[in-house]
Amino acid sequence: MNKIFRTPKLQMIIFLLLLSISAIIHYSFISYLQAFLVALVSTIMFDLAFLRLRKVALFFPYSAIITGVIIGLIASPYLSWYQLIITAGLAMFSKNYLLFKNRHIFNPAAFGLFFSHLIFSNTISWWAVSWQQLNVQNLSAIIYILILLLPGLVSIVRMRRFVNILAFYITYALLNQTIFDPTAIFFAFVMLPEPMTTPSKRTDQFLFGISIAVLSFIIRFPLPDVFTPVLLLGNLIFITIKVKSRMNI
Amino acid sequence: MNKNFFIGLALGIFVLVGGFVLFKNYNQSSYQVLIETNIPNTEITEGVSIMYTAIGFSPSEVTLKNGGKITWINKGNREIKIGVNPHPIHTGNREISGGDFTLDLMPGDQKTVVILKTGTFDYHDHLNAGEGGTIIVQ
Repeated sequence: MNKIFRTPKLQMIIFLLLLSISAIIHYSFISYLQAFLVALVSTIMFDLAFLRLRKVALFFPYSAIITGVIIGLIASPYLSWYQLIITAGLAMFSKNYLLFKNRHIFNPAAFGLFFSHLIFSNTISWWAVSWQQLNVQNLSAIIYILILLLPGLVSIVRMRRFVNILAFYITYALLNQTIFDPTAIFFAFVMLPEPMTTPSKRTDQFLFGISIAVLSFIIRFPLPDVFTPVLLLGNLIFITIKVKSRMNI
Repeated sequence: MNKNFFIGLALGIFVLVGGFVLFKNYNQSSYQVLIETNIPNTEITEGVSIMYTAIGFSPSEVTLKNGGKITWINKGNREIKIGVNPHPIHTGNREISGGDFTLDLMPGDQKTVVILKTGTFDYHDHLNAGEGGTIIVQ
């Protein structure tokens, strides 16, 4: 039992659920919980269904839970139920069918949210991960920021993606002349370092992090949301380089 | 390429096409109303009301004098959180949202803010960032 709690994926799930609870408490609006649960449950169901179709032995869907929570945290809470279900379906479709060497190519949450945006013209609200404000004189503000930072423990310490995260955030902060951006912090800690779709070598992590920050700065103006399309573009560039150089993952 | 891949692909296409058709039918009437009602107010005023309804913010563009007041009115049936662009970090002129990250309005609520800085400021509903408008302060 103790061993299970030491797995990075379960730790990430726990920290993301803490973040979800803090956001729902902050907004004091229970209807957000409905949208969150629709996203979470439908992502898990789609993953299990696709695994069954692929005749892959079923296993506990840690990754699907993480994707579902991410969708629940950043999709608009006012999306209708069918839009959320389709978003979840698209995310799990990419996880199960858009594969290279049996690993998915795109960050599933980013894929689902981006293509949902193309279909429904909705924008990503980042509602649960954008309201935290840097205010050292307010205890609750400090606690909320600490909760926002918790997923970083998993991605920096357990998954060893600190080069990727630091390269991205420092470049992003310099380009945008900002120190504290909760959305960028969430993106850097949770979505950017997804192990299946991003490089593991330190030099590659460094280049990947800088590239994503620079791309997000260059193409921010024509897009309502910049992080998801840029991450998908980064995933695509990464896989293209990998295919060409026949690198091992 | 096995049979399951094609089943999965077919499911994916079905979800995409189905969603698109549903969305088209759902929103067609709303778009027509939006075109008729979201007319920019180009008259320069000292005070203006911007109303939110189920079809978005109206007028979609207003022009104010420096020091002018904006009264935000929520006549929709859901809570809105008004934030200045860029979304989602709202680092623009926060006078638009009363100095806070967002200006929160429950259905039926209204709040007034004063705008001192000049310039062109876009805003949006933080929970549905596709809905928004422009405020020009001269």
